[in-house]
Amino acid sequence: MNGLWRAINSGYLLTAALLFSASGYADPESDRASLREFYTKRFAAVPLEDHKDGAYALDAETRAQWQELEEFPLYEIAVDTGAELFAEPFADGAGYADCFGEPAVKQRYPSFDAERGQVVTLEVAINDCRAEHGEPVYAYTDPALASLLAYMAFESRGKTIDVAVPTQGAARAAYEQGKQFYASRRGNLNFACGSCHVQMVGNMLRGDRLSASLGHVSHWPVYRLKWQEVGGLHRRFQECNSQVGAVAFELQSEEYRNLEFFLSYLSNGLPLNGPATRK
Amino acid sequence: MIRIIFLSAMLSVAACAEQTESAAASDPQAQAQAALAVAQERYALSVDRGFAWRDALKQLEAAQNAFDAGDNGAALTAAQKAAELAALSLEQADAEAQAWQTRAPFGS
Repeated sequence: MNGLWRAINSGYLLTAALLFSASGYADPESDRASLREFYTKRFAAVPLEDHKDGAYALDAETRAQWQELEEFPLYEIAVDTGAELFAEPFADGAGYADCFGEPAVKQRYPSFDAERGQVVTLEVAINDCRAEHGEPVYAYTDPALASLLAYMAFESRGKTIDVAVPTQGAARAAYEQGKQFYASRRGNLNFACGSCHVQMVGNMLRGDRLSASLGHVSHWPVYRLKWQEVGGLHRRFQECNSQVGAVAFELQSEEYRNLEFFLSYLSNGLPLNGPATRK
Repeated sequence: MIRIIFLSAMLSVAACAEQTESAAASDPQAQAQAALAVAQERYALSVDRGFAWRDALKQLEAAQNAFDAGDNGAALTAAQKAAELAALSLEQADAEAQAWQTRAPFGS
C-alpha cells in the first residue's frame, strides 16, 4: 500500500498527466515517441532496446535468474515441435512455406488486412493458411499452434518489429480502438493497462516488478512457469484483465487483436527476442 | 356513461396490476426470478459494452444455481448483488467512454 501511495505521489504520475492529457487523438507516431520519451526519463539507466526483455530489463537480480533459465530454455521442445510442424506438408502437398515463404515473418505481424477490414495476427494468419489449403484450423489454445508460433518467433529473432499503421482509414481506427482499450479502466479494481505498465511501472506488485509496455510484444510466445507450457500474448491479456476483476475477452477477439496492433506499433524498432521464459 | 365505463375499466386494470405485484412480493420464487431477470439484463449490457466484471458474473451464476436448486432466498440475494455490480460496471463503461482520452496512450 505504501508503494501505491508513493507511486501516486510521485512525479511520474504528474509528468504522465501533463504530457498526455487530452492526447487521446494523437497520431500513432506521436504516441510512440511520447511513450519512448516517458520510459527513457523514467528509466534513465536502462537502454531503450533493453525493454525487449520486459521486467527483466528493470531488475538486475531477476534478470540474472531469468538468464540462468534461458541457458536451458523450457520452450526448446516447443520450438523443435514447431519446426517439424512447419516443414510437414498439408494433405494438398502445400505447406506453411507456400503461405509465408520463410518462417521468420513475426516482425510483420500483426498487420491490417484491408479487404477483411481487421487486424490479422500471426495466429490468425497461420489458421488462414491452413484453411486455404483445406486443413482444419487450430483452436487458439492448441499446443500445436503455440509450438508453431514458438518456432516462427525463434526464427524471427533479431528482426526488428515493423508494424505499419496508416494515418487514416480502418487500420487507423483499429489502432485507435487498441489505444482506447489500453487506456480504459476495467474490472472492479478499476485498472487500465497503463495503470500498471505506465503509472506504476517499475514498482513491485507483490513479488513481481511491473514491466514497461515498450517491448511487451517482442518476446512472445513465452513458456510461463505459472502455465507450465508455451502460450501466446492474448492468453496474458486475458490474465491481466482477469486480475483486475474484468471478464476477459476471447483469445484473438477483435479487442485483443486491436490491442496487440497498438502495442506492436509502440514497439516498432525493437528487436524480436521470442520465445522467452517468464515466471 | 362512457366516462363511468372507462373509469371502471381503469380501476379494474389497476387492481389487477396491484394484485399481481403483491402476489409477486409474497411469492419468493417470483421475486427471485424477477431479480434474476434484472441481473441478467444488466450483466448482458455490461458484456455488450466490454466492461463486464468477474464478480458480477460470479454472483449471477450463484443466483442461477440457487434458483435452480429451489433456494429462492439465496437466489434473490445473489441476483441483487449481481445487478448492483453490473450497474457499477455500466457506470464504469459510461465514465470510460470519455475518460480514456485524457490518459491515452498511458491509461494512468
